[in-house]
Amino acid sequence: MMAKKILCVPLDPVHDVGIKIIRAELDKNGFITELLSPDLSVHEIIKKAASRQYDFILVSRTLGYGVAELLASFIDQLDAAGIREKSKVVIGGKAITPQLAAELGFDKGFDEHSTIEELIAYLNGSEINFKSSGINRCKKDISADHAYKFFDKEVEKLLNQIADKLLLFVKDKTTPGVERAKIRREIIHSGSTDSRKKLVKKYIELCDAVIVKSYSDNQFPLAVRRISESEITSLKKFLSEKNPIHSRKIQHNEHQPLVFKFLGSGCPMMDIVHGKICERSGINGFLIINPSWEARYEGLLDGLLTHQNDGTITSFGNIKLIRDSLDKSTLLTVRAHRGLNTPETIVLAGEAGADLTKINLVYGALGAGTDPLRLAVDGIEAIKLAAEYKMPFDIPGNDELSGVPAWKTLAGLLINVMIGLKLNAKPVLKPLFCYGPHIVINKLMSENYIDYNAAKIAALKNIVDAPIWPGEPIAFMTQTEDRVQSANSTSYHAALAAGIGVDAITIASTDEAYSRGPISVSSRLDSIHAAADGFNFMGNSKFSTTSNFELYTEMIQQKIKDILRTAASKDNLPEAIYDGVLGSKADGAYPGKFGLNTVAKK
Amino acid sequence: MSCKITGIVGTAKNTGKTTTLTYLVELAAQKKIKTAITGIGYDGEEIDNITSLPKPRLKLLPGTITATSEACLARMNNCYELLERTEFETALGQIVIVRMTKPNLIVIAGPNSRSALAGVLNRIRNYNPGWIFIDGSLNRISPIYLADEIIFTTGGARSTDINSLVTEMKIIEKVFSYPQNNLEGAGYSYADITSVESDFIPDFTSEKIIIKHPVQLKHLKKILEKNNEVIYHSPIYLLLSGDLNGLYDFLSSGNLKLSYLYKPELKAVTVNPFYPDYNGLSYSESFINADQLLRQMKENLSTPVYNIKTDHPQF
Amino acid sequence: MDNAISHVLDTIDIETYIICKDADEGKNLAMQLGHEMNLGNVDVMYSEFDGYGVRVRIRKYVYKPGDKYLWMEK
Repeated sequence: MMAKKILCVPLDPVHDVGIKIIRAELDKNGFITELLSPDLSVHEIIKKAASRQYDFILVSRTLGYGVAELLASFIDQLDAAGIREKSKVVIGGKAITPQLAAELGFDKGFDEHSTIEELIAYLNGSEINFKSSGINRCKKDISADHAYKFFDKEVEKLLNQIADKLLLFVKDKTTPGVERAKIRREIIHSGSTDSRKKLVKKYIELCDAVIVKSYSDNQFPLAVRRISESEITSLKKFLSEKNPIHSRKIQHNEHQPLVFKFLGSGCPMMDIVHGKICERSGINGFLIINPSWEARYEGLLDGLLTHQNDGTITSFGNIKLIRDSLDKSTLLTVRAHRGLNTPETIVLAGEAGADLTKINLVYGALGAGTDPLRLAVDGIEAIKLAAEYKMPFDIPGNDELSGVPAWKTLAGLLINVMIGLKLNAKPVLKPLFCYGPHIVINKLMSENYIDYNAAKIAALKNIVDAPIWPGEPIAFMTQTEDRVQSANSTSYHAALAAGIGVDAITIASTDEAYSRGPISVSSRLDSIHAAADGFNFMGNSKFSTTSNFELYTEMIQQKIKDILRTAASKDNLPEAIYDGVLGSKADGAYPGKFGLNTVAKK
Repeated sequence: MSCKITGIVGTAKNTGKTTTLTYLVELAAQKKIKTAITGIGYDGEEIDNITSLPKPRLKLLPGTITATSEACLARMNNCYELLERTEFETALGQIVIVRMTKPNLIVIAGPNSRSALAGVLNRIRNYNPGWIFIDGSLNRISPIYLADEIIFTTGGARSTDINSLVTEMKIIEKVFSYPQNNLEGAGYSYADITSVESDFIPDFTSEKIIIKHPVQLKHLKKILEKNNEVIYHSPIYLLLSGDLNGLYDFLSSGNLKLSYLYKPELKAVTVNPFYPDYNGLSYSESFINADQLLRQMKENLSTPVYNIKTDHPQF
Repeated sequence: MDNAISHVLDTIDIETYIICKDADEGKNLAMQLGHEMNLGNVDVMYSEFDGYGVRVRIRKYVYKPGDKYLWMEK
């Protein structure tokens, strides 16, 4: 087949960069191109177009005042000169739409978002309908590239001791949370209405009154209401009529981290619409935030539920709705790291098809209010279930936000890693990129934000080969209510993450610092674009650290060992937590009280 | 069966093409004439693509045939019957011919080249309409020579200076005043674009030259100076040859032996006092003096002039 | 009459996300929003359609260079 001849016409008197780039790409793809200079008169262009048999004439021009007349007149001249019988005329530029191209009389119009692939497909006559291109990516397993090998043998030894002791300690213990998880599983798999009723009766015997009322009297706490059938029908119709177009990738290259976002407006429907829009902008996965009051009550609500408060209710119906509505390639994390419903949450997440979960026996007790002993028993059960459902679990190091030094937090993370490995689960380290109280007081990031953050990661990498997923989110406590500042901070921290080399990051919205209302989709998009720009800026290069980086790395690694030695000397992990080894009252960490005295022998 | 083709051409966007066309559609309905409509380009949209102001929309009645791009059918709420899919394409998909079954507002994105318009008109004729309308788009008039008659629309959106509007229409009227040439007898030669456009005009002297495409006026002048007779493609193409001031000087310069291959009749001029007032950033609605506009046009043209909103011409 | 808008130094920008079926509808709705919010004609500074709706920023110029600035005359 003869190569197609293309005449490239920059109708702009000065700017022809765009069409030069396109021309270079077309040359590479086997087209024969000629590029006119941008200062020719219409007559000179017509003459040139008439002088040879061009298959296509590509015109590039940005829309502006008076430009439409110019373009239409140009088409008239081409038509009257008989050139349209030989050549198809295509226009591309900012603000061009198919409607505008049709109005002006062009055969085809490409806007600034169109790709060179679309243009080439059109020129080759193999035009693909790009309107419903969807998301087009594969789901990634964060833990796949890591062997979980320990490089620091002393740390490994200490962790083994701590983990073995704990597993032995909880072996004969149970809690209402553990029991409810078993019942919940049966409820989900129950065939008949009768057996379901019996199971629910058994279930609510282990629940607090607030939760019981929702099952027995249909009374829900705190403005929670059921989502109606018609709302679900409207949602499904809305989603079926929409398709993402021009889907983006945040990552600039395949080595850059996956990017996660929170969802948890309180309404799963709002979450889903936000989620779909963020997906199209390149978000790889979401973490559902649940209401903080769920941590206080024994038992979870059931059904498709919505409310106006912070956090989407943890129920099988909600998680499944969200999971089914998101793209198959999008990852979904359900949080189970605190409160009295940890194992049951894993069951719900696993059964509903979630991909990941979140468990931290230390932080959940020290910074999130749960009794350390209760959380130890629940947490072990949760990790076992996570392994069974093949859901990797991330371990959030949010204790730093209370004032706990990084090394204590990271020690806690590593303890969870070892427990996870012993139970055949896939743990994921989640250190914070934050400006936490300990850092502020000890001026650890006063000269730059790079050395200390990088040192945390380096220390962990020196100890074990495990997935690392900074959060939660990155740039925590560096953001103000100023949108631009907030977006910038996300951008720089994203660039840092890309430069250091981690598996994933979680980013906040630019509403992060504003606590008095739900998060808007615009603010989510702000930070997604910010992260993408940060990744783009960083590309395949790296940040350069100062000498403090090495000092910090060594210090953190050394102090982790010290903490683990002390923790290993205690009878069990809960005792270590109570004794402040992994975060003391002086640090600002207080062992929680939810679920106190609820652990029983099996 | 004979069928009249009327083109509606705007001297600029927002000069009342759609209003005039809507009027003609209603007039045809009153006279029980079966109509068909197409357009060069894209029109009938709710908001102007350029100025973003609301535009009048085309309402079509049952029985009317229209040729438009497939993408436009999505907005037509199943009020049509598909007659055929043509092989002609636009930026909005294939051109299809449909017959309205219910009254509906419509968006027309029609054929965008002369050959496509000729093809579409042939297809439309198969359905025996009595009157075909071709809606002109922004400064897109090249294919309109295929019409039997043309109505120009002008007004404040073209210029807020009434004198210049009148002058412009006088020149257009002058352009349309030259006769049609049926090419009887022998001795005609064709001039192709590259030869005529070069600085060295081929040695035509006292010849009958057929020019089938627009050429710059300076070249046309040189040819005519050598006592040649020029059979130009159409008055439409002469309008495309240069700016109107240049045309005025050109046509005033003497006895030009000028005739046309295609000669649509200049049927009427409609005037519209509206104009979009551009403040440097966005547009708002404004009007020039409607009475003065109509009066001055009528005084200076022999072609009938109407304000569609106040007059009710029977065409 | 001391209305808040006269205190605006130059512009009011509204950044939002509008559900719509295509880029054109999104742009039109954005401009309509300006009218519904009593701002009159607004400029659409940015509009990107992603399949679900448009992320959009509209701007109302309250004072432009050359105007009489009420906030200066108070």
